[in-house]
Amino acid sequence: MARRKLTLFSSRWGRSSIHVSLPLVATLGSLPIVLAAQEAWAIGEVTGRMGGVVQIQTGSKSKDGLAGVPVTIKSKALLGGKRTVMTQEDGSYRFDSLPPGVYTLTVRVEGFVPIEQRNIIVLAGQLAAADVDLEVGQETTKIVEKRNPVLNPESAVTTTVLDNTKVQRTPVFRQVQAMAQLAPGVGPGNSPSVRGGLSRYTRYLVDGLDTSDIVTGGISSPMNFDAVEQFSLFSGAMDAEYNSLGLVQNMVTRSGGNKFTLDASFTLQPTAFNSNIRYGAQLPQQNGTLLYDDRPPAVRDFYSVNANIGGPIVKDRLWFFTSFQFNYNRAMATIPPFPWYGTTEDTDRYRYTYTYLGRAKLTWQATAATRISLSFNIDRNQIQNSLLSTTVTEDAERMIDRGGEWLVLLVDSALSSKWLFQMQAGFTTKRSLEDTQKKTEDGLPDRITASRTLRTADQFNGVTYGNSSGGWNDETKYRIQVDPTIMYSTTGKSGTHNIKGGVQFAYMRYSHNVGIAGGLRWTDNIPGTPCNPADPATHASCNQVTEYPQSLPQGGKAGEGWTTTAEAYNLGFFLQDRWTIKRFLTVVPGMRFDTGLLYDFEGKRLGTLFGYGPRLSLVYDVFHNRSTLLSAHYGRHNDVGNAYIADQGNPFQASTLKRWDTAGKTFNIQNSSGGAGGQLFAESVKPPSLDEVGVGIRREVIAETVLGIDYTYRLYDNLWVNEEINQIWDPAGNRVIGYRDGMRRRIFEAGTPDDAQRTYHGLDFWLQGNPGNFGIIASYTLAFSEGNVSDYFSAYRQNPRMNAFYYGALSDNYRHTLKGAIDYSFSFGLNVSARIQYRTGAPQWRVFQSPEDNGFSLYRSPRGTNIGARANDPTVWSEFKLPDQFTLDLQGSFSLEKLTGQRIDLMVMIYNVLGGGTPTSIDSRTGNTFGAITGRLDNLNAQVILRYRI
Amino acid sequence: MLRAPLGLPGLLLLSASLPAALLGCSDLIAPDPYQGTIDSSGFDTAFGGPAKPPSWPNSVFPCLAPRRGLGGGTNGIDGQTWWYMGGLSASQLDLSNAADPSKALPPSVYQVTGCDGGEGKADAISRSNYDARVHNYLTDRQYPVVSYGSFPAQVGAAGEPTNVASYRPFHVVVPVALRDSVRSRMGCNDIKSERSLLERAGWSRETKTFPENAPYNLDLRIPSRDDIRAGRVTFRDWPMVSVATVLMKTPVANESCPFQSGSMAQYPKFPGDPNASFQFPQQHWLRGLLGGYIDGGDLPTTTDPAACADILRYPTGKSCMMTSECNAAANEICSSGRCQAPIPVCPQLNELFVDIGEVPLPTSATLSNPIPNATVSLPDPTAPMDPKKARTADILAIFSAVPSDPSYSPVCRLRFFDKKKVTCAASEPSDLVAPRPLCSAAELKAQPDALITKDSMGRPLPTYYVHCLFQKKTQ
Repeated sequence: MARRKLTLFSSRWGRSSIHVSLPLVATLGSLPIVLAAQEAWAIGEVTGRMGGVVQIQTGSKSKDGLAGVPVTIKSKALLGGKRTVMTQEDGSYRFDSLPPGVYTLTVRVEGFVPIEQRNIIVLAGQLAAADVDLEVGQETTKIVEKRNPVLNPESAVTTTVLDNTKVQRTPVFRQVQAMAQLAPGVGPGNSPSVRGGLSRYTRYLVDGLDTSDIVTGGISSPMNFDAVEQFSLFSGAMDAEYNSLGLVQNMVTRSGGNKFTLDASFTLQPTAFNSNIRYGAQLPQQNGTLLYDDRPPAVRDFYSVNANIGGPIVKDRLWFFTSFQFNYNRAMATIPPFPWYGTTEDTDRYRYTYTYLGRAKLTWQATAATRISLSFNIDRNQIQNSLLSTTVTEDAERMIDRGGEWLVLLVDSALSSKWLFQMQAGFTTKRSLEDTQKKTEDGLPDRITASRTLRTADQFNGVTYGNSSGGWNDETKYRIQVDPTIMYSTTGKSGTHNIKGGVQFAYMRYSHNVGIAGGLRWTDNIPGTPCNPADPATHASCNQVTEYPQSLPQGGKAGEGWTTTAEAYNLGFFLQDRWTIKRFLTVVPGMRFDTGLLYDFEGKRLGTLFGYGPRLSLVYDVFHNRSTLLSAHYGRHNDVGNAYIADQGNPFQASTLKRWDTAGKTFNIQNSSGGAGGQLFAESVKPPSLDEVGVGIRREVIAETVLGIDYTYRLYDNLWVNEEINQIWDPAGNRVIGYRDGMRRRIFEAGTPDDAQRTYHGLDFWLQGNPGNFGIIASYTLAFSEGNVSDYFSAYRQNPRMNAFYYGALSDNYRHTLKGAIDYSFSFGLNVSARIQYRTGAPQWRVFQSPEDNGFSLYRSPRGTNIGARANDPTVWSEFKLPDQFTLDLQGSFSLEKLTGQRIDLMVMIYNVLGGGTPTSIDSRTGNTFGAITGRLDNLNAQVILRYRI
Repeated sequence: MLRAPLGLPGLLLLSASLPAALLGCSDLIAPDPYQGTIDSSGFDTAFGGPAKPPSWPNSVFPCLAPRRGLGGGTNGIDGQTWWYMGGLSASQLDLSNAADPSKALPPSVYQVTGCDGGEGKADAISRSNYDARVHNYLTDRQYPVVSYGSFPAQVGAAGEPTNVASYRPFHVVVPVALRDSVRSRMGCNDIKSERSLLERAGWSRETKTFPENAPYNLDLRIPSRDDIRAGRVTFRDWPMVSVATVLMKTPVANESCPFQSGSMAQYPKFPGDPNASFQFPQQHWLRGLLGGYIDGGDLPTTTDPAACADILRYPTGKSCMMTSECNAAANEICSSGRCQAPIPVCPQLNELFVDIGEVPLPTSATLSNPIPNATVSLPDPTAPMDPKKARTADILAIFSAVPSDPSYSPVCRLRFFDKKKVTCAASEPSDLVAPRPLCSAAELKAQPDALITKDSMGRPLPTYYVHCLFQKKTQ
């Protein structure tokens, strides 16, 4: 064995050199891979890091680092088997670009007791800190079971990381987009609002590639839940490499391994697993439960089968992973009779949903320094009778047929000991067709027959018949993305700098063809006899019709509809330095520049958006032992546009609203909109931006469990609006009394005015960790969220008389949110878990009917309020909210391995155990149905999953 | 090297808060918030209710069409344009609320003078840059502020000014002048509520008093109840209407109602645009809400007990058996065992004569709207049964006084006459079809046989009052 002089470096009280001759145990030359300590993260951080100090006790209270010591790690997740690095002058070591998983760390130095630390968990985007204390001696290997705190001492990012094991133990519906619900500051739903932002801001990354829908912002292509190794949820204080006004959910997918594995499961949720509770219409929850309803429960079946297979193609060199999933969903609703339409008794209508998901991934260790992965994902979804509504006849139902694919290429290459190069590239495609369920004789969707909507006795709801009023929407979306990144690491007197810079380029294209069946949409605003457009004698009843000229049938054939295309280019540059000044202080300054180019259907550039995004984060280890961290952050993010924004500059489908004139016995034009000249784009626009300030403290209160407190302030500014600029309203905003250009038409202009804003203040208390056999994720959030924009291009600024009312408590302003998931694992294979969710009611906003178009668009009090008993007394305006919600979900999971010798797990989930039917939506329209309950929490229901693994 | 654990983070937090701390406080007095417009759904249609069919007297057009009438007096017979605001009850003409002293006095209107343009000194929307799309109101003049009961000494137990049951169209004018101490710190239309107006004058909401020798920021001359009862204040006739009510320039819908099919109406490019085919009502503030009113001008009043006795009496505290036991000087009479006194102050009355053949006698069900139609169909005397030869004409409305006449008042006593029994000197030169006697009010009064004083049962007709005003031309 070679002997080397080891230089000791005091980690705390200055330098000292002690020359000791010690044998070197490690055989460096035999190790397949040697990586020097350097900093490296993939975009979207699909890999993690491990680091620490190898030290010995040199005084009663002092420890000195050991230089030149070999540190070896191994894991099943590590392609290539093992890695070894040598400690630096100060005794520190570091491993970068590690796939998430469980690792074992070994240090063998002659003259010292060998150390083996086991069960070190590496999470994507996190540093797993593992210090090694050597003891002089020749004893057998000392095995240390690693403590894995949740704290990340190098980053202020608000992160919730969920590995596959944790999510399997949580009673949550097996959908990737449902995971965000577990993080603090995240609202309900599959496209949640996060810390006061719009739901479209949520970004879904898969292995670092942005797969978000380029139009809606939600998840574009679902993927198999069990194909995900880890979910990383970033909800604030993000570094410069991220540009997102909302949550970033990064899913690190499984890659396979040196052993063949099979993970298959079958999910059952038949109708019998749903409770029979029914509620009377329009009644509050506590006294609305029907007691003597002996009808069989409505059909509601869900079945799913999925299989995941992984393994080596070439051991330690080439792995594969593939998965497949099929979902079947059947729901039923009883449709009441419509005697005026020819149906005289109740009928059962079914909605069928079929979903297919497929995935394949290859991971290749091309050279010792380069790793490449390539993955492909495909999805298909078909829904028949997608509305399943009691207010549409069967021929007015709709269908959905959609699907998409995406491909991700990830290259990770260590250029030298200090330089690392990474690149992510990929493309996503999405096609979606929504159309009428009604078919012609040829079996094609009927785009010729017009729809009619008959107002009911309450005067506000209606029954649509004849054909779907929604028309058709055939859209295609493409996205190409290339993100090269370069990283440089250096250590000097000022500390350690891990500098990262990169370019992020994306091209998006969105095209869609829309139309209205028959080119006409008849509305009968007078309850009573339905209208027959072919019979002029009934036109007094069909007193409103909207005409869409491009959809009008020609020569017995359906109209072509309206087609537009939009394109967008996004280019971003970022540079950041993770500067560790001392072990206990890290500062992360960064800057990014983003620009977006938007093009309309004619290829004309609509606008150029430019934004700069400074970032500054600070993390301070208060007691220098990684048990208590203080963090502070400022950051600015800019939304420089996507294909959806560009499409807003396109003229939209032309329409003309006509109303029946009783005196003249003719349909008079009320107004028109759309078509050429109907949609403008503001000449000068600022990109919507987010300014965020956050401070926080987090402390490991018990082993592997952290308690944190975070305060966040957010200002969302210059949000997109579509302002109507031609109509002149009376002073009350009730009627249009003139037009600026003298023509009865609406003209819209898309822009980002300075007053289109949202603000958020939030205080989060959270607890995360795995103390003993427990697993805990819990949080309480106190939040205040106000603004005047509910979504891009909402109704703000379309009636200037209403503008003053638009600012107020936003609909996702949940003042108090308490959520938690706790599980406990017994030694005999049983795991039980519970999940609670409590949130105060969502603000509502009373709305009044406008005589201008019979729609509900008039307000008399600010957003989030109701007028009082005295209509003209603002002092009696009151908050208007839904009731508070509370749900409890339970899960039991039992391993049958001891009984059967096979790795079989049986899981039972029960959702909404308390069976609360709390209203989730009410009718806020002034009139007969004001306050009527239109939606409730799902009834108690159960799900069983049988899982088999090899 | 930072010693304290919170040193660097604390510095960062401090530096983040410094900009906020450095922001100075402005000397300006913040304007009252703009709360929107008054919900007119509760307005009585007779006072210009919601501007949409079918609740407006004109069931087809949500516009207030002017009516044509004829004026007598010194100006002779001539066409006049007037606004018909429906029927009035006697209690609504009790300006002092003497009949029920527990109720509010007439609502006050604070008329603020001396403002300096530009709301909050920052937003100078004026007639020249007024944009009908986005500017609800001008800011180079302070709109009047309607009271709603903040000042108990003034209005007592105030009723809801927009409530049909308690609404009065007649207001007491309270002059308010801005002093130098506030003029430079406020803009016009900064004040939108009674409460903030009183507080800017120094009134304490908690103690409900003004400080000694105050008001000092605003000259606020609040009349006493005695002043009001004695008629020593100015009353204005300001029926509150929907701010969206369209006041047509002519009765022809196509010309001046924007909601009529084929309308040629030209909208006002600023409030009071003389070239517009219609106007919106003038604007006022109530609790920060923008409201509309029609300015009927000064409401002439009288404290003559004889004149007011014609309108209403109220029971005094004194019981009696006969009138001689009551105060004859005060024109009290004994009725129902109590001395009944006339109300201390009441509007002077104009007189409006209509033909019984064109306007039927009101019934108890139509008291709030005694003259429902503005027009009448007149048959051709040569072919009275041929509907094609009939013509539509304005109803024959003859006023005893018009604005500028000494006895003019926007409150009219409705009088009926039989045109077949009158003989008048005046005639309309072009009125060759169905000639109608165009008498002056004086001529009608001089022919008492033509006046209808009894109903079909021979019972004396009650007195009917209607609200008829000639819109004051302002701006």
